[in-house]
Amino acid sequence: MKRGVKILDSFPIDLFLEIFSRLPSKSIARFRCLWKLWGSMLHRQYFTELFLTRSWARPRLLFILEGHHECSVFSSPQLQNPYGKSSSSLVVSAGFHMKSAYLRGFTSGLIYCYDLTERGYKVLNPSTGRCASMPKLTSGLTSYLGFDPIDKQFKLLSISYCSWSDEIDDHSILTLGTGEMTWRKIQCPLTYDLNSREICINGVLYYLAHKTSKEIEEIPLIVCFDVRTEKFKFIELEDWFFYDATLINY
Amino acid sequence: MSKSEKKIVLKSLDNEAFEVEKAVALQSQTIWVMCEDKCVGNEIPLENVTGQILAKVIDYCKKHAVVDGDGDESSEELKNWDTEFTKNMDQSTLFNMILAANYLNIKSLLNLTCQAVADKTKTIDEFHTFLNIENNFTPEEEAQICQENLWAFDD
Repeated sequence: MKRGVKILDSFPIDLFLEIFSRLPSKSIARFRCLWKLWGSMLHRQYFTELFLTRSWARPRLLFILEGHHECSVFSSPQLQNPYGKSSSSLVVSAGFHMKSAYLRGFTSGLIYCYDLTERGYKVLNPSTGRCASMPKLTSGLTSYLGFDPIDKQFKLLSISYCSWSDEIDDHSILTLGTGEMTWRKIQCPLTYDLNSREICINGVLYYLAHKTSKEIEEIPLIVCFDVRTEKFKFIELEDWFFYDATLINY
Repeated sequence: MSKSEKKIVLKSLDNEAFEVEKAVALQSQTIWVMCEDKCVGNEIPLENVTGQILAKVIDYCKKHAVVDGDGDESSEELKNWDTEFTKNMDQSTLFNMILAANYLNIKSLLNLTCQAVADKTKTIDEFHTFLNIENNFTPEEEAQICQENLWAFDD
């Protein structure tokens, strides 16, 4: 016992963090409950970044299977040496199951789905299993989940049609975090109609749409929404026509 | 370079002296800087490391110096050697190895030993008992923090 006390006193906290950053997320959560000092250290941004740096070197597969009004999340174990010889076979374990929900999107580690029973959006963290219901918005057509890597914030962008026509001119933003979450309106300089699901790359949400206008023909465009500054940019696509499209990050 | 310049003496906290090839010792950034600045002679006192731990650190450095030098062994073999090296160390030795690797600034050894502790920390109780930590949350705080981290205790 004495030996342990001696080590605890002489062992620098940053070396403990070096060890903790190599543990699975579940163990880290358990350590948070063990000792006050660790509890606060393991909540800090510095540790999160250290953990993610190590974690990214050990990729993990996540499968989301969608059935009839339900979705299940499966995950492979996070291997120490994913490309080594010993890891030729993988066992995928069932994570959790969500009834009456369907997947809407995913960004930087969070999954975003629609709950049919509660008639509202939910954000799910597959590594902790925590699930949070988002505040409801009366007039939402769809919402996109984006991540701002500079301020490390997740934001939901909700898009809805204006009440008198089938054009989108109503945008609201919700910043995820602790405390009370509320929607707030933002302005978009253009009215358009949607064509695709979103993709979030380096803090910018992209989705395909087309510009609607009474005078001119519809113009296809890529909407670029900067999650941090909450500003829109538009890239017009010349001579293109599409019914449906998929955006891919490669 | 004369023969004496190629060798270096490392002296532990408990005055144990180890004569090693310079190439072996220079894997430690701390020793490298000391030699580069010419602030030490041929004998380097390491006041934070005991002889028992230093002997192990030197074993590690010897192994890695040889491999880097002539490339005889594959990285696979080296990895196996590393695994064997930490396999039978107890927690106390591992923690002291981490401290030594940190003090001597040998990145790969620090990596290896931290990973070894993490791998051996399968159950928190082991770690808890070893470090003799008293839970210092009040009952209310503990209830709240356990509630927040409930997902971690479900199996």
